[in-house]
Amino acid sequence: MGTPDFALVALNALVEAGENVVCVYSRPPRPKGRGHQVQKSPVHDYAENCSIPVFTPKSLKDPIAQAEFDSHDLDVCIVAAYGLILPEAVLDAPKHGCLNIHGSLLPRWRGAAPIQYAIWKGDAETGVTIMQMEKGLDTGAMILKESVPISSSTTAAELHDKLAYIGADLALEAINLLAKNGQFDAEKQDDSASTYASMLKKSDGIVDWQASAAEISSQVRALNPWPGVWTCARGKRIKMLAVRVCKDDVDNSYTPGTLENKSGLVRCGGGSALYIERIQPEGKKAMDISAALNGGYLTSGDVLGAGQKANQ
Amino acid sequence: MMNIYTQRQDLTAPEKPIISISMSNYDIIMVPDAVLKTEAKQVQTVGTDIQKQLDRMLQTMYDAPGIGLAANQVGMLNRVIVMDLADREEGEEATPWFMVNPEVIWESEEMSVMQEGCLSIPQQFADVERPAQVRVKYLDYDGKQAEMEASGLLSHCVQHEIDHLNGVLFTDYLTSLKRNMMLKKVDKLKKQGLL
Repeated sequence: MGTPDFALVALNALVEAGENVVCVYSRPPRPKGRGHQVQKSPVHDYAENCSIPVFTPKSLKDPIAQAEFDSHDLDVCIVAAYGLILPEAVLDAPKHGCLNIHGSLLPRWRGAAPIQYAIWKGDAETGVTIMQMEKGLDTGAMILKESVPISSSTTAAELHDKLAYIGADLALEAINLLAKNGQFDAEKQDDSASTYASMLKKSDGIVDWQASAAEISSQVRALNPWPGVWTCARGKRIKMLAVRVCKDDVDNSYTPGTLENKSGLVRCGGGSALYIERIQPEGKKAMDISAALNGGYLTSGDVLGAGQKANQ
Repeated sequence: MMNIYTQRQDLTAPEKPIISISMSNYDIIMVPDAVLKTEAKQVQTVGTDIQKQLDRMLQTMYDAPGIGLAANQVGMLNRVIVMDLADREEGEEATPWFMVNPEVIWESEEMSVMQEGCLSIPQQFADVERPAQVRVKYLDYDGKQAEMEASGLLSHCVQHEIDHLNGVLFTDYLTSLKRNMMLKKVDKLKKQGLL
């Protein structure tokens, strides 16, 4: 069961490894992109090409959909970024239940946006957890885990791809374990150590120039391409696509948000500073900082974020 | 209804209910009032004071009558809500929900439109679009971590109440034309002494 590219990598690995994939569940096709044409999900598309039967129920609460799922008589079900709630009737239908590929080291970052939150909140490492699903959201017992370090340049897009491949490997490993032992050794999660990565909102992308340069850098790396990180200059919105933390000592006699010189140095909170490397002004293409300065989208002395409306 | 909080400037959350008679109902605050537009603060521990507040809020909600009530609506700025969808007039058994620090941790992409109303915007109703299903984590009456999954009316209700804690009203989802019309109607009702 899965919908986006994150799940596709795992499905591809299972198929290539010659596992008997009985059927695939994915979100129903929906309007997307330019012209809002109805498009099948990546998983749906791929499964059809492999001639695997695809099911796209709108909800699994429906008793007919549940009976249909039960009729597949599955050994185990692998779930990755599916997007629907699995009721208990579904969780209990396969002989060995449902396994979830989750993009964080549980119990940290349960929820919908674990990859982004791990970067945004400055974690030194994250990873993938395979867990036995139960009724609560990402609360199931853990079967396998693998960690990856997060550096000061890791972006959400890179990390997403890396974790997708690790997730695929671990899912295969879990199935092999099941084939060998006939069951799973699972470790319960420590609920008291849990944190939640709730869905990202547009407003998560507003830059607070009072925050430190490192925090803003994490935000930029975590929240691109969606929802994007932005600030305001001269009454226009500016999306920040890439920044670099300035390592040199800087004095803190400037207002945070002040753009200081021709290299794109901006003052942040606590006497820190960062270089803006790439931006996209409202209604324009993405451009390097030098082009933005030459084009007059930014000028030395601007105070970024000033006059920003809170509710945008 | 008389509203003792309308003129109040101080918006800090009172430690104890201002009315001290045990289990008397709170007064429900109506628009326009700054307390409805203010974000409520996290509750640190669920003790007897919070439990008393939960009981009193539930009683206030039952008597209003309504299906949900957030702390902001009774002038308290802590993250506390109560709900009960049971149709008590039809003799259904009460099924109260007590939630402290509720937080939406998952929402469906599928949306749902339902008519909503609000005890703070009396007798006004409008269609509001929200995620059809949500998962919410919260502390229950005993302060234990809990999780609920809601769809249909319960989903709309819990999102509506959590919005209150964030200073958001259902009218904020409407066009300014509709919103202002509703506010004017409430004003008129107040003037006619019908509230």
